[in-house]
Amino acid sequence: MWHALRAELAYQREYLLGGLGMAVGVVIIVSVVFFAVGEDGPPSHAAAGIRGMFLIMAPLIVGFIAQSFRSEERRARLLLAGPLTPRQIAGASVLLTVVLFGIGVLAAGLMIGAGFLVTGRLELESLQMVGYVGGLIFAMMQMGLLVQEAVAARSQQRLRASAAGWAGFVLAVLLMAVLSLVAVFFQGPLSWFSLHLGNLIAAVTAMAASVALYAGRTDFTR
Amino acid sequence: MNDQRPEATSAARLSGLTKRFPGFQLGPLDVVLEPGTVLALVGPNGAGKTTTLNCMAGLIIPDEGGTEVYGAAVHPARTEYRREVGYVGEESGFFQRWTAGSNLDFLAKLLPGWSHDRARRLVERFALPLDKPVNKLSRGNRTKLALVAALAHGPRLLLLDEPTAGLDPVVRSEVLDVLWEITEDGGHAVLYSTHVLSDINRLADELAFLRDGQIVLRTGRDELSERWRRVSFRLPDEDIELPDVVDYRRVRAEHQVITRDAEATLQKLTELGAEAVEVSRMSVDEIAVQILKEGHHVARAES
Repeated sequence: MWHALRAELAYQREYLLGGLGMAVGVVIIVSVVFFAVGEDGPPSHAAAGIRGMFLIMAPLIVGFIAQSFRSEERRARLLLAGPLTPRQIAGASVLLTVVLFGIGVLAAGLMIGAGFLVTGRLELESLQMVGYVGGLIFAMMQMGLLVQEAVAARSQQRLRASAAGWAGFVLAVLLMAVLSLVAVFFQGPLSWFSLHLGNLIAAVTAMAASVALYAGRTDFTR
Repeated sequence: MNDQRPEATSAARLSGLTKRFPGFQLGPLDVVLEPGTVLALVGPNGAGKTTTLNCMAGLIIPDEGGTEVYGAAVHPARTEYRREVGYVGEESGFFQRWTAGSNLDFLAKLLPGWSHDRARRLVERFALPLDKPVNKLSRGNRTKLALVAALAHGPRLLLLDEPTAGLDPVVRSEVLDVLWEITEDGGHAVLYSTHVLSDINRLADELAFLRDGQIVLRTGRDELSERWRRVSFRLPDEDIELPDVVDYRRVRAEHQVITRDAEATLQKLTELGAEAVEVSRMSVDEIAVQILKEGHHVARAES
């Protein structure tokens, strides 16, 4: 599984480097603009938030590209020639997005750390905001994979599996919504925690469900 | 997986293999493929050839029945059988933007039993350009790459889904040469789906004719070309009953028949006192067309 995961990451290396390069370019431009407007401009945590967002978004967009290539190029056919089970193939697929999200979070963290070294201000609020929005996109991606599997199950006449997939999707969205509402209505030190937890639960639910649905496929040719 | 390979009496065994799709059912198929045998699966588009091979490769789970490869059950969740299977299909799942060489490097680490030496010999034999991205390779070179990928880990069962379809005559000949060399030593069992019937003459020991998801006839290639004949004759009687005839035409005073057992038909004609009897051989192509056209009839006759 790790060999397949490493290969997929290596396969997207150009897109990843290109995306991160563009994000760094945006970070530089935003920094220059904010530096130029100085005190008259938006608050510093907004600048940090915008910069961090681009750094998280770039690898996640590569995640969308990677999943498209995997599907379009019928990767499962190649992997099923070797000693991988469908569960391991699906595991590599969901972990690919996890690794890319991790790269984005790391890049954003490094940027905020660099900002701390330059300005002496640690923009924790912006880190929370960036982490939340990035986590939201990450959870959406995992839910996208789940929906893909629910649709595949339907086309393979696995109606109960398809229904379970859609139920998992609805459950994940509801959990996310409830925890977001909790964060809004009971603002306090646990608000950010509640928002991150909502994303995490939604993502993990979607990952587990999509791996289970993929492992239950009856047709791996598409 | 280790290098200990199971001994089994059959290379592949399909037992009641059935797969249903809306408006189509494959099987139930019962097929045994002996080690060292090349079995051509012949049939028109939509007959179920690719589905059969996909079930045997573990890419599709049948609704009923199953497949064993060298005694190991075929199922996507099991991996024991995969060491024994090399599959060349229309799509191979390669990393399209990577070079052919990079794809082979990936497979070398993925597939147990991969032999760099075997892969190198095949690449040289095919003159395969390893430095070109897969999506820039010609159809012929993509087929060659798929064959190298399918053969380099030393499988004992080859599943080939129309490997020569769409290839120009030169590349087709190269591919068939290599397949012939591989099968010559009798170490490989091959299930070869095709509707390019001239391929059969070079490779197949046996033929299975698949029509509407059913095997309507399985026979040896030599037996087929020895027994099937086109016979024309004159006989005043209009209402003739001849054994083993699968096609009949009347052209003015002449009767023209196609028989799947020339000996039996000619014996009957002699008894009936037929005149101007002319017997001509049929090509495998002609016989195949006849069998697939008259599939149900032949199936009844065989059973």
